[in-house]
Amino acid sequence: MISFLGRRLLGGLITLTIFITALFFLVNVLIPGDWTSQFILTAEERAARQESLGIDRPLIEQFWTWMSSAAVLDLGKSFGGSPVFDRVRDAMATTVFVFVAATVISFPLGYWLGRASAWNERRWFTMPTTAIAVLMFTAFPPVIAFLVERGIRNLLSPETYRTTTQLDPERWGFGPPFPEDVATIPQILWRMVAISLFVFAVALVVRWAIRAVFGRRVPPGVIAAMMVFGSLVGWRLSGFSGQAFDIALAMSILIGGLVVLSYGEILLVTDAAMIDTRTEDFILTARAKGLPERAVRDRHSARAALLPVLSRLVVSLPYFLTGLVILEYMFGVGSGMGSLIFEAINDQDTPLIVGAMAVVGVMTLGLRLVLEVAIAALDPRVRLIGDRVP
Amino acid sequence: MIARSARSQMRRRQWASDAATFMSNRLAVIGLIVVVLFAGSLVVRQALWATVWEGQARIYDPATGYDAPILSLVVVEEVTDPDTEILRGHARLDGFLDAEVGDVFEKPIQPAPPSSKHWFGTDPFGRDVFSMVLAGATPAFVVGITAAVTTAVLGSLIAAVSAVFRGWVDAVLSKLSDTALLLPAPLAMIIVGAGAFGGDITPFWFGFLYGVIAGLGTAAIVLRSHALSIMGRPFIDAARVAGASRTRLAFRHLLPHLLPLAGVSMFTAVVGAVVAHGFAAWLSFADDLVNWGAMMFMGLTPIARFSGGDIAWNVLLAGALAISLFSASFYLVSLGVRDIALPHSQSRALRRHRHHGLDLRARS
Repeated sequence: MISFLGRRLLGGLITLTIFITALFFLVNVLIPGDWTSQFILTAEERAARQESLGIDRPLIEQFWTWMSSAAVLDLGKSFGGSPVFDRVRDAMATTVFVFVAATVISFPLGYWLGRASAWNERRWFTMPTTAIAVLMFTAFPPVIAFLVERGIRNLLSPETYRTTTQLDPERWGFGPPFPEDVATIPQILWRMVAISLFVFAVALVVRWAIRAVFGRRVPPGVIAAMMVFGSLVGWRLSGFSGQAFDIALAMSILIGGLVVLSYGEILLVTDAAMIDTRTEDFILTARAKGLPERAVRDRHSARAALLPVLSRLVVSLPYFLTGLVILEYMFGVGSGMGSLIFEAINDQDTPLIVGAMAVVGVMTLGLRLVLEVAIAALDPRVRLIGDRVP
Repeated sequence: MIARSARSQMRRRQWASDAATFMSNRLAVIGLIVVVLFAGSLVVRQALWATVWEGQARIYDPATGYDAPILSLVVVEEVTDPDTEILRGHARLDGFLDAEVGDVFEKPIQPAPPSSKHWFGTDPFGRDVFSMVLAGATPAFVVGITAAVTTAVLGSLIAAVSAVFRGWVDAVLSKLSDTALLLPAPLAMIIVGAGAFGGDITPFWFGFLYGVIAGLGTAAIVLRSHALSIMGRPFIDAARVAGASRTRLAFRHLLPHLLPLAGVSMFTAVVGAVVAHGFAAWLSFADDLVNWGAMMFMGLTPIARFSGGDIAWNVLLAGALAISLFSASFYLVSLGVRDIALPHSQSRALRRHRHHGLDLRARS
């Protein structure tokens, strides 16, 4: 496992280097003119500005400067003057929060529906489920987001529902008012993510411990409830509970949109993979042993289908991330990576574009590594051969 | 001569069996029907222009047409019936600057609801939405087909070369694929579109660039693992023993076996490319004047909200449904092609349906 991890990490680093190099030259060569061309300046003023920004030097030299500072996590300054790393960190808070929340909802949802659809002989269930999943999978993200937003707005009263830009530190829903100079929304979001991830980890450990000590399986529903409840309690205890709930509510458009966008594919892959296992010998054996149909489905077929689902996710990650970036640009809720990248493209702010895209790349790579480790843990063949499962 | 006819007969039988496989997937058949309908809309459009819409470009042109039904409203101090009366202040805001009480204000309805003259209504600029939907099919097909062909060609070439040559060639190509997978295609398009094309990227180049990214990334990865499994089969060893060079091995023996799966990648590439193009068009990074992405934007913009009070639902839904149905139908077709490409899973799915009764008995 260690050597597998090492190989994957090394491979990831190489990929990242190629990616960033390609990105740097792509952005710098393709974006027409430069930052200074959007101001009305005399030739001398322009030259002076170009010199102060360092964009008068040859591209190779700029690349070298950028890479050597990026190696120590310094992404330089945007042409607007603010440090790129800080802006990306703040924008990333929304993106990570929404992505984690949506995945936690959409993965079990798609998996559960796919399981039901694969094992259901009735056309009235299978056909519509599949058709809707296909439509959602191919739907246009902004429209989905728009419809979800309409739904949420209609569902919740305007007093309850506020977007992050409408959040007023003095009138935050629950808990005592929290002065804004102590914690900005991105800071709160990061803490929320950290707390929730910690709670998830604890829940998984508890599940494992119960299984090891008492030899009993905890129903997944109980674990999910534990995670949600634990997160809420964690947010409450951390001292910014009111804000946390309000922010989570404001993000519900994005979370809902991303869930709708991503559950379909998980459903379709689970369904296909489980139908593949139906006539497998181990299913026949399980039935011959007299296992109830439910156990055959959940413990034998669905588990075997988990592998293709995870390896499909590895390939689909960029698609989901792009969908999220689009959604989030549409609504500007909490201004995450989407708004940042589009704003940077509009302003021709090359350091910001390269920095933001590089961080998205690192995030994708990191998630891919997590998925690959999960696949390797599930399937020993991957660890031995060290190759991707198709 | 005999050998040739035997071979052609075999090929025909293969075609027939593939077609039967495809037809046995009901969703794929539905998808194919919708694709054909969309292709038919290209003809319908020409036909409409030749007959019903002939000489009426001022009304029905998808980019510059204008038509608005007129609603006559009486200007009043206090509105009791909003269908026939309008507040003086509102009439002035709407452009009837010297409106006085008692005047008749002839208000053009933009966007107009569906009528027999405009099947899908008109957009906030008074253009015929049905005509726009038909016109939007052309760029969608150009983007889709270009992306599909580029993806399939690039993906299967890379996969074949990787699987046959292995070693450092494979290592370099795999790393390239991983890199392409990191690049979110729509964003890359927008950077390229904003840069190299000065903000306007033509459908052809959009499809081609999307195809390069998808072909290098997803398609190459899926096809490569399939190619590796084919390389382990006996007929490859036989070809090797018979003295086939590696190039011949890749092109003559391996590639034909990759084609069905490349077909799957082709159809899924259409889905991604059309949605990405819709997004670029939504952000006005597209060269063509009328397309579905721009229609959705039109449906949601403040212009629509200003003139209609709310969203122009007919424009939004027409664009969104067109783009969703278009890409969904290609996705469904890809399911059918997948049944042909991977007979393993297909035979199981078939057996599942055919032995339905037996299965239930076994269960009870």
